[in-house]
Amino acid sequence: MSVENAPVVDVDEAAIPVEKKMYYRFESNDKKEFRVSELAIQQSETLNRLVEAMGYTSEDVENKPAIAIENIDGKTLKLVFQWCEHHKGEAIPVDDGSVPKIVEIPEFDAKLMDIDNGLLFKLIWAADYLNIVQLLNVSCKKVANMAQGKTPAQLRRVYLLPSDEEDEAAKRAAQEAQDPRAREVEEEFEERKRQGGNSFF
Amino acid sequence: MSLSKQERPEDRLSALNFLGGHLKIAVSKPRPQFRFNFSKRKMDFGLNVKQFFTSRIGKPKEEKIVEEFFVEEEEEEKFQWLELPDNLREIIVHQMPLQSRINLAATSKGEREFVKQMKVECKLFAIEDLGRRTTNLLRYPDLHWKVFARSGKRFFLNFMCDWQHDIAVCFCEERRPFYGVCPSTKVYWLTPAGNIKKTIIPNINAYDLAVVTARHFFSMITEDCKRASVALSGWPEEIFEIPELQKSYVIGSSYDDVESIHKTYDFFEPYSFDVYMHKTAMKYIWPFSLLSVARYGLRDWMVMRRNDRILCDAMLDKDLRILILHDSFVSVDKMNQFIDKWSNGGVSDKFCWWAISTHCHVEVEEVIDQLPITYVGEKYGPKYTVPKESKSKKQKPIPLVRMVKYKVQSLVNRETIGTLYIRDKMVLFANAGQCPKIDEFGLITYTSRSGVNETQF
Repeated sequence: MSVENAPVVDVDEAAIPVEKKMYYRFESNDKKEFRVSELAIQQSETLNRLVEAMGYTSEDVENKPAIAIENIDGKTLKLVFQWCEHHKGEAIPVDDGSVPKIVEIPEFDAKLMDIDNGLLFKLIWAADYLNIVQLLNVSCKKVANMAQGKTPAQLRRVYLLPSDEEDEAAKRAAQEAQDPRAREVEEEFEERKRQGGNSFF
Repeated sequence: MSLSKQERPEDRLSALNFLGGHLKIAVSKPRPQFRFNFSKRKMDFGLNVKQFFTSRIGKPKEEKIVEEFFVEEEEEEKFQWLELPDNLREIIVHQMPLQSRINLAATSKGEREFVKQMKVECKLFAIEDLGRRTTNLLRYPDLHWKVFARSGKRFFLNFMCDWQHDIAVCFCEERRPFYGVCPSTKVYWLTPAGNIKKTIIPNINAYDLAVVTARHFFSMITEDCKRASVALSGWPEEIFEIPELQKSYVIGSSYDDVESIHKTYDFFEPYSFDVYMHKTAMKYIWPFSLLSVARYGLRDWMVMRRNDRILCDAMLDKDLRILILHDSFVSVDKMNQFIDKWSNGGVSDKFCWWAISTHCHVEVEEVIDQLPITYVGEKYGPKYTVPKESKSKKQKPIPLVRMVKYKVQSLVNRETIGTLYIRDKMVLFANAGQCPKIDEFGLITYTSRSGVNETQF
C-alpha cells in the first residue's frame, strides 16, 4: 500500500505526553551565547559531566546565567555545537587505547570543516578540551589528509616545521640566552684557534 | 653553496632510511659519460642556425623560459603543527598513511624521533625469495614487470600492508659468476603512489639486507601483525628469531625441503598454515627430475624422494587446525587414513580442515575407499592454470574438471558430519561446521583469526 493511500488517523496531540526538551545555555569567552539540546551535549564528555554535576532543572536553565566556557571563542564553539547537534544520539566510540581504526569524514563534517587552518587548529583544541571523541577523530583526519602526497619540503612549509639547521640554531640561541658566559667562552676559544694556539687551557 | 643533507630529498625519502634509523643509504650517482652526446651536438647545431634566423623561426628560446619561470606557486595554507600537544599530534600521525609518516619523519630530527615511536598496524608482512614464491609480487604488477623480467639475478621481496597502503621493497642481487659476489644490492621501492624508486646499498648482499629490513619493519609494526609469509630457502633462523613474527596468525611458506616445513610448523604451531611445495615437487617431476638425479645421484635421489614422501604424510599426524598444502606429496592412502581416523573419533576437536593438492593424479575411489560417506553432488569448473603472458601463441582451451562433494559420517557421534571435496588433484576435508567456501573454479575462501583469506587450487 502506498503512503498516499494510507488511511489518515486524527491524533489528539494533547493526549500524548510530550517530554519537554531541555536546552542548556553556554557562553564563549567572547560573550556569545549558545543554546544546545541535552542530547547534543552527550557527545561531549566534559560538558555532560558538568551538566550532570550542576543538576539544573528546566527552570534553572532559563533563570540562571549561561555556563561559561572560558577557553573557547564563539566562532569555534559554534562549529562544535553545530557538529554536536547534527550527531546527537549517535554512539560515542570507545577509546580502548589501541591504534585508531580507519576514520572516514562524513559529508556534513567535511562541509563543516571547510574552514581555514587557524580555525581548524582551534577546533581540534576545543574537541580535545571538551572531550568529543568523534569530532577529534575527524578533525585530526582532516589534518592528516593535508600531508597526503606531499614531499618533506612541502610538509615543512605546510606544518611550519623548522629544518635541522634552523632547529640547531634556535637551540644554540636559547642556550646562549640562558648562559651568556658560554658565549664568551666560545668566542675566546675561536679567537685563540685563529691565533694558532693549540691548547685552550 | 653546498646542499645540506636535509635539502637532498632522495636521502630522506627512502623508506629504508626511515625504517632503519641508522641505516645509511648511498644514492646511486650517475656514471661518467665518455661517449659523445650526438643528440646534444645536433641541438647545438640547430640553435646555432636559429641565431641567424630569429626573425623567421619563431620566438627566441629565452622568452619561453621566462614564461615557464613565472608560473605562480599556489599558496599553501599553514598549520601550526608544533603548537599542538603531543597527544593530539599522535592521533594525527596515527591517521596518516605510512607514506605520509615517512615524509613527515624526513622533515626534521624531532619529527623523525616522534614518528618512530608510533607503531603501524600491519595486515600482512612478507619476506620472500622470488625464486620460490611470486604470488605476492603479483599484487604489484609494475614492480613485477620491473624486476622479474630480468634473468640471472636473485630477488628478495619485503612488503607490508598497513591499514591504508602497501609498502613494497624489492632487493636485487646481481649474480656475476666470474666476478664473485656482487658487493652491492639494488633496492627497488614501490611507493603507494605507484612510482618505482631505485637506490643502491653498498657492501651488503640482498638476502642480508632483506633480513635487516624485515627486522626494522617488525620493530615499527604493532605486535598483532595479522599475517606473515616467509618464503626462503632452508630454515633461516635469523628470520624466525624475530619475536613479533611468532605472533602472526597465518604463516605462509615455501621451502625446498619438507624438513623445514615440519620445523616451521613445530616452531610456530600456527592456527592456519599455507605452504607452497612447488619447488620441492619440481625435484621429482619429469623432466626436471633429471637435473636432480644428475645433482644428487640416482640412489640419493630415490632416498630423498622416499623421505620426502614420508615427511609429507607425517604432516597429517600433527595437531592440525587449518592446513593448506599446494603441490605436495601426501599420498591418497594417508588422506584416506586420516578421514577414517576422524570418523572413528581419533582426531582432535580443534581440527578445522585441510586442503591438499598433489602433483599426482587423484583417484576419487581411492580417497573414499571404505569410508562412511554419502554422495551429495558434483560440479564442473575450469582447471586452474597460470595464464601465459605471450599472446602470440594460441592458448589451448582450458579443460573442465569435476568437483565432487561427499558427507562423511562420524561413527562416534551420529550428529557429527564432515565434508569432503575432491577436485582435480585437490582433496579438501573439513570437520563438522568448519568447511570453508569453495567454488567450481577451485577458489577456497575461509575465515581465520586474521580475517577472510583466499587460496586457489
